Amino acid sequence: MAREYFAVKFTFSRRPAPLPPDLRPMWRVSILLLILQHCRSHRSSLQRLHVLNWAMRSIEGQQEFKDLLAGQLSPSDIIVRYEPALIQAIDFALGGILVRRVGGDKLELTEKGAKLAVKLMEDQWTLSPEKAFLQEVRPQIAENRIRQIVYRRGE
Amino acid sequence: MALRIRVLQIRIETPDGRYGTQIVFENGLCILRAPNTSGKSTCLQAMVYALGLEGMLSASHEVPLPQAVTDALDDGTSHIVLESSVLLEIENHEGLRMTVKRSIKGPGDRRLITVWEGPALSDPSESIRQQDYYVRIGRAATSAAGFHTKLAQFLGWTLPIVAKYDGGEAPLYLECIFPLIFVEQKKGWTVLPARFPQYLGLRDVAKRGVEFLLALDAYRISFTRQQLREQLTSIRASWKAHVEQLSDLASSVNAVVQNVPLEPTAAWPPTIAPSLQVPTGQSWVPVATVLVRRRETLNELMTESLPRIADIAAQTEAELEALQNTLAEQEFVLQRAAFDDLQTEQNQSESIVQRLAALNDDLRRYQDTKRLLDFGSQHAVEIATGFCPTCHQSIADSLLPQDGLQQVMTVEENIAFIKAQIEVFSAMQTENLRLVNARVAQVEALRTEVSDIRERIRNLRATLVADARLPSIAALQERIALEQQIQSGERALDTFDTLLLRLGEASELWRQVQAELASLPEGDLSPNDQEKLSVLQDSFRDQLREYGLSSTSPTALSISHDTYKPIHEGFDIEFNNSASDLIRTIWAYLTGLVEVLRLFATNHPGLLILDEPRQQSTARESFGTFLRRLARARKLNEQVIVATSEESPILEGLLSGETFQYINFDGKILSRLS
Repeated sequence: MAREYFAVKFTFSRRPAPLPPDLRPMWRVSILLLILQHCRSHRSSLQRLHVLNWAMRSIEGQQEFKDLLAGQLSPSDIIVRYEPALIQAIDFALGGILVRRVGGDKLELTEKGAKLAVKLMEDQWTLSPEKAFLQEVRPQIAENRIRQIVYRRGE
Repeated sequence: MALRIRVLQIRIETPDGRYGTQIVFENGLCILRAPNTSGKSTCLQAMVYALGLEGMLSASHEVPLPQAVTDALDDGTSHIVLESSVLLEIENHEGLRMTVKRSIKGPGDRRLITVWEGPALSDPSESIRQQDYYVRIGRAATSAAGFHTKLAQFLGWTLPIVAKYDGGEAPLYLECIFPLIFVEQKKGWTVLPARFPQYLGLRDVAKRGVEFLLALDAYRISFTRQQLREQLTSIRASWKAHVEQLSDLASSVNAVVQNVPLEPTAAWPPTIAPSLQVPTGQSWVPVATVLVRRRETLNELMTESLPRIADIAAQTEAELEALQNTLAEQEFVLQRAAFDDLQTEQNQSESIVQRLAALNDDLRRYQDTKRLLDFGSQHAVEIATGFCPTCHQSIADSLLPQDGLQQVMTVEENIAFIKAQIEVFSAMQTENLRLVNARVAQVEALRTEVSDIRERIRNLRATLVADARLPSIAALQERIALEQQIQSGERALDTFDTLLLRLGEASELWRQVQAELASLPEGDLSPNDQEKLSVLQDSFRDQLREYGLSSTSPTALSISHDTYKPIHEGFDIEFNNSASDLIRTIWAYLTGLVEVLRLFATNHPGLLILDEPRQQSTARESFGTFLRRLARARKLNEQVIVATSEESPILEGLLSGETFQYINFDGKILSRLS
């Protein structure tokens, strides 16, 4: 009896899967460009990129980061995630010659990347919460300060 | 609805005597011929100025007339202008005459127009009432002292109120109608169908002008439709306000509202009558039923006299014990309702809110991503086009490890996916809110019940320890409480009925407005409008055929039912190569507007004033055909004034056999008056 049920021919078709927006390469590369644009000399250590990338992935992340800067959160509460997706995004950006490596562990915007970043900043319709966040924290994200506050080093 | 120019007089006072001119115009085609720069345009512009219409030519408040009437007149020697003014006698459809005078230079206020209600120029002997009106200041078109109010009245025009760009409203100013009647020489022939003043801030000014001259129903229809839609919005707002009052009322008696539609409906009353329901135990009962029960209980109690304590001590003790048990049970039920059922729903509600916020944020990020991809491809960023920047092979649009990756949705698919989820969660939210409201009502009802039981227990205890000869406190309290509950229930039901009545009224209004909306024609054009436009189109094409339109076939041109402008196979007409075809089209359109008047009642005054219509070296034959067509105006009692500098013999040749008024000047028109 049961065998008859299995005599039906099954077909499987692949359905594309949804993806969180922050895993789209173009979104993340744009965020990377914006972060670098807000750094001194358009240059940043990988370490700092990871911190800011983690902060920018979600609204809660942004709020936690701001609390951390304001000293309202103990650094031990925060686990900075080293996210493989960022490394992938950096690879894409390197490949597209939007950023280049400087020294061992630093990245900076290329001319092409800087141009695109300016263009992104000028367009008032896109990424406005992200831009607002960067503008707000900009004075407090010097390399040293990030090291002190997040990694508790150099004190 | 008619306007005829009868007499034009320009007066210029110089130290060397009075200069100027007086021209009398008849019906039909009037040709005002004079060589170039001899004052033709001055005469025509003086008419415009006399009627306070110079705002149709420019926003400036300067006098739009040449030096000859403002500074110095030159007829070989220069004569300084001391004072000057223009007078114009006009006639309307009832044969009434009106004469206006406006100062050009001199001590008089140029914003003043003096009006004589009669033929002050052609019959100066008559003594006529005279009054001053204002032009070119605020409210000159609306106040009784405004000249344009006066002029519109004289023409028999009721000006429609139209929308302005700033959100306000204004009458369709005369300056926005006359460009279809008077064409000025310098800039008038550059725009099809006419050059309308935009600085006055009226929306769709060209459309409104044509609509008014043709007396189309379209404006009234679209205006009515707009008003009806606004009415619907306000009914919806008051409906929502009433529904809100209903639910406030319901919560004041621990009830919920049933069967009241949240949006306005024409189907009233609803099939299942709206009611206020209160929870009793696990089921819901209408407030009205509860009231009936309470009244019965109270009536029963009232038939008995108040029992004395001594008589009911044993009974009271038993009741007290039973009530204490009930209290314990009900407190448990309340606990469960408040902390389990309600809390669960509220938690659910919170998580829906969070989920919706996250979804909306995702949606925004995806919409950003879409724009970013555009930027990326504009800036030659390869990942924006789905290729690896290093090996140039196609890659999945994802930051997850590329190998073994499941196929991901495109950005568009993902946006649609998120939107679908938002829809589902929004629906859940509505449903959840409804549930929470019901649960809150249930909990409140339970709380009241528990406190009522406590109260009764207190009363029973008080009864047991009181003097045995006194009436039972518990029995007394019970009666008072019942009465209070009945009163507040009755009040609530009264208010409920009143509100339902209001909803009924709103529903009736909603039905009426919907019906009115449905009765409007589908587009804005009434059948009559469509006929008028088709007559205009026939006349327009017929003329263009006669005038020898060269760049396209006249049958390819039509009159748009949206803008009433001529269009070419559904697009704006462009005469890139043929300026003379533009001129022909303007001739045909403006003349066509007059010709519609011959078949339909319109607002067109049956007057055209054209300054040098032969522009852009239009072929002479075309011009001749045009003039002969205009000459028909005489039989139909219309008036067309054409100023031209064509030579006399040529004009005679072009118009041989036609009847027209010929006003010829071989020298300057403004000359010394005797």
